[in-house]
Amino acid sequence: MLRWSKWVIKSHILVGILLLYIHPLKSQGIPKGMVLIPGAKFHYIQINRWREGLEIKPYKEGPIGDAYKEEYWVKLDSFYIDIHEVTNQQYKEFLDATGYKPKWPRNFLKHWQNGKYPRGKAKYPVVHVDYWDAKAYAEWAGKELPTEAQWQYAAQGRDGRLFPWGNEWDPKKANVGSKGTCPVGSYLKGASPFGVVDMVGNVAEMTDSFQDDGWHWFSYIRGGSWFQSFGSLWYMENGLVTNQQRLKFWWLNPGFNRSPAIGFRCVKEVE
Amino acid sequence: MGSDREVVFKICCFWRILSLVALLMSWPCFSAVKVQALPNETTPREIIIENDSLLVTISLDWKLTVNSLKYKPRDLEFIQPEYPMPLVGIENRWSLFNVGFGILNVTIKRTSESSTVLIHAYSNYLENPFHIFVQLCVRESPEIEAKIWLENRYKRGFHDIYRAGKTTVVPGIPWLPFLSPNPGGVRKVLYPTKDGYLLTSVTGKLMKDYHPIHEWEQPPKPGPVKLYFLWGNPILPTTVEFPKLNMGVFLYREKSDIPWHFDSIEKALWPSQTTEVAEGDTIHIFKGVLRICEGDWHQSYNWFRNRIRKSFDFTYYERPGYEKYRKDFLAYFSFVYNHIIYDPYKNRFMPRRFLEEAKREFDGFDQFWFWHSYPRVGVDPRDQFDLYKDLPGGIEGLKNFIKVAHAMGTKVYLAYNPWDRIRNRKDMYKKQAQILGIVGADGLHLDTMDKSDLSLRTEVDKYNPEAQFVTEGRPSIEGLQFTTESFDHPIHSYPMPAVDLLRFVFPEHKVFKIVRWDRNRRLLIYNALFNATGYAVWEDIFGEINLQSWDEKILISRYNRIMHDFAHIVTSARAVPLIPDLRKDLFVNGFFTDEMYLYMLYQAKHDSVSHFLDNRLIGSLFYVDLPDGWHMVDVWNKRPVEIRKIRGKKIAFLPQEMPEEVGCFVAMPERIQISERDGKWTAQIPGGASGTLELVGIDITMRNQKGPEVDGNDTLNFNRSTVEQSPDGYVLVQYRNKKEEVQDVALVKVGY
Repeated sequence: MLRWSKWVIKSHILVGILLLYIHPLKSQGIPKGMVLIPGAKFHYIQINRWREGLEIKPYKEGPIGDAYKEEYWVKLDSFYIDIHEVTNQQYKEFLDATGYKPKWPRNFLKHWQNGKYPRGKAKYPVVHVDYWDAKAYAEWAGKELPTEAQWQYAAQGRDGRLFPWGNEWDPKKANVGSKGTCPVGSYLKGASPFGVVDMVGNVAEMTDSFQDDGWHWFSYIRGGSWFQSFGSLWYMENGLVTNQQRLKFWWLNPGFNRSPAIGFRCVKEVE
Repeated sequence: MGSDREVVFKICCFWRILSLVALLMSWPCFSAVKVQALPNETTPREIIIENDSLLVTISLDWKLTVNSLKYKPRDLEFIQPEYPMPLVGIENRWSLFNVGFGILNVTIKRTSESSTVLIHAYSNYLENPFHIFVQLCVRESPEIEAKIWLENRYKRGFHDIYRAGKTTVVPGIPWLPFLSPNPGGVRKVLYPTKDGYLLTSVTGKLMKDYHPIHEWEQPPKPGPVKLYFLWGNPILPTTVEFPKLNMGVFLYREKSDIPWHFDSIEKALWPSQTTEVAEGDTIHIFKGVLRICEGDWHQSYNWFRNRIRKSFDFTYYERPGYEKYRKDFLAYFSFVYNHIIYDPYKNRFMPRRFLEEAKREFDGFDQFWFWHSYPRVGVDPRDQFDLYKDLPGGIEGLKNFIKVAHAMGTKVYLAYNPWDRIRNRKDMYKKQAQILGIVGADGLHLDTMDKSDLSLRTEVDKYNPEAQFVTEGRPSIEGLQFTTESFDHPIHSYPMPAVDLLRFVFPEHKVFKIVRWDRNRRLLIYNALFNATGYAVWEDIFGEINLQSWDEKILISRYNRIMHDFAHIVTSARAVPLIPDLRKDLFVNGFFTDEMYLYMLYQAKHDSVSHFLDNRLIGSLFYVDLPDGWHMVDVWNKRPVEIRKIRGKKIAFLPQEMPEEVGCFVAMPERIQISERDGKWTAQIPGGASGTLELVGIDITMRNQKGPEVDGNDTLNFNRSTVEQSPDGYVLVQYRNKKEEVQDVALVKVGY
């Protein structure tokens, strides 16, 4: 029995090496800190979740929930995605390299002091940045913000699971409802099928979904954050959310836009 | 001897006079209300209560019924002999009508002002542990104050042979179906439903024979009219009006364990409720008033209005600071980050540009309800108060916004979200009041707070006692005393002709009509005009856009102008809902002062007018009790209205159909004198006046356009091309007094 299973493992490794060898996307071509998400056509379900009338439950079944739901098939090309959210350290590198200064600095890196992130917070996700601050970083890094479909596919994998690790909520697998952010990659057991971490919790993540309705600017943020509001139905829910849930986020003014619970990660096209 | 006789005679006379005087003096000690028990008060079989208006005969002979209720001034019997009125309905194995409640103890109390009869009914059957108490009190008015309750005096070891302690009964008040001075006639019923009141006509004899008349089915006739007041207590009396007799009877519920909102007329006339009564429990079946009144349903409405106003504390409405808010009609409620209010490129608010545009489009806003928090709160730990600091320009930016708005005549209200407790602050009221004081805001918009809190009011008083509260929905009667404004979602107000009784019962209180998602808001604008309430434009609903259409903007602008021009009339205390008119498809609300009358009209089924039925709104509309020398103008449609005398009574007479289903007729003393010569017109106030005479053009959208104006002592000269004419060829000449109040309007046909 043991001999037989060893043989199976060995054959799998051999097949893996072979595949790696013949596949055009060799592992050594993957940018540092990113993971390859192979292209696919997948069943995309998105649940619009921005405010009133929705219960505090992470997702709602039945006709009310369905009213907020859209689904269709999406074809994605292969792409790379950051394994974890962009950290203070990474953002500092960007600032040092570019000298980036936003036009309206209100709340920009509010948690930093004298242009430096707090001691011991290098590996924490960068927060207090808005959409334009994130775009500037991504441009510098030669990357982009993920589209909603990219983000969701990276989180849910091929089986459309509700959370990156499966269909059941597990507080031990994501930083939700805590007192603040934690170092990226603290919840390795909460990784998605592609090995992407912190997709749910820690900080909500901006996506490349910027729109202008003629009166406002907005985009969708995904994944929820460490901050869980409580006590009222009327709060914009940014704590426990599922892979499918999107939160409409109005880009209002710089002071409001930069939040301690919103960060980002990037994607990169596969050439 | 003769002199002795004289002395005796004089003494006798003296004593007689004295005794007569004593009798007269002692007369008030005997009540004006007589109560008599027959054959005696120990074992009465019949009780007769009588005052100047009523004669009530209660039978206790094996069943407890009222056999006669006579209205003496008109000698009208309200109870038909074949249908005696049960005093209380208890559906149980033994109803109150039969031997189940055979033992009746009666106590009669007489005071100088009233007579009270307390009937205690119970049974000697072991199966029946219920004791029923009926207390009737009659004073000098034509009303009976009633209090009815039921006690379950179940005793273990006595009643439990037959039943459990907790038992289901169906108590009810079956009075109104039995009260009918003209069986079979049409009657109008006003009754409370779950979301307001319905005023509808019914026909049929008594009780089960009631048939609602579904008059909406027939275009020229009206159906039930919806009225709405408050969501909870107090509740308007259920009223049955007998139009042919011009009489009515109503039942006012002050307290009852029976829910007092009904989904049908039948249930409203005979309120009852299946109730479980545990041993030792008491059910308060009814406490209230049954009253007979002359006139239509307005009599019961007026009685109710006077009653609740009497116990209402008007302190916050009487404070001098409130006066300037009373003439606010148009509010703008908005999320403040849309790009017509906030410039994202310059990161600053643009109050001036926004309000200037509002002036062009809506004729200006009186109030701006500034909404900065929801749905942003919840994303991170910042609460509504933290977010003020992060506004464009911070607190100073907001301060400047308000300063500009004030300079442009617009008050600014801040949002207060009572549910936002992210920071678990203990001093939310203080915090909110402080911010309001610092930025100089004019009031608070109380999100979700139909039950306002007096302690918030007290806190705000410390920083700005003039600031007002505008609350969402309908405040409770208690909250209404310090919440001077409210905005009403359309659950109740949308269907026309819906009458907002809150606005009529408390004309001091400001109501704003508002709707969130509806794409067509034409009827809501009409509703605001018809009721002469405020209207709130809501285009940016927490980040989602639902713009008023261009034609709605025109309607709002026209509405806004009229409300401001005649603010001194529509804020009058003499506001009467649904004044009687001469047509079934017409609904008219009236507003009166000594100097001016204003009538808001709504024609139901305007679109269904048919030449076959000949039901156009032309001719006599309603009686008007106008002094001589007054005239009338439709300032909404800019059309003349005639006042004709028919059989000695003045009538508002429409020579030409209204182009829209609404109208606003203003009656006032004719002050302006117009003369015409060779295509040139002259307007003047004979004898001169201290105000202003102004020419008002009417553009193709029927909006007013400001024209030249002169001092009231001068003459105003104009010709066809001075200002724009209405599509019918009219222009307006208005006379305003020093307070900017329109005193007279003359319609001048200069075209064609």
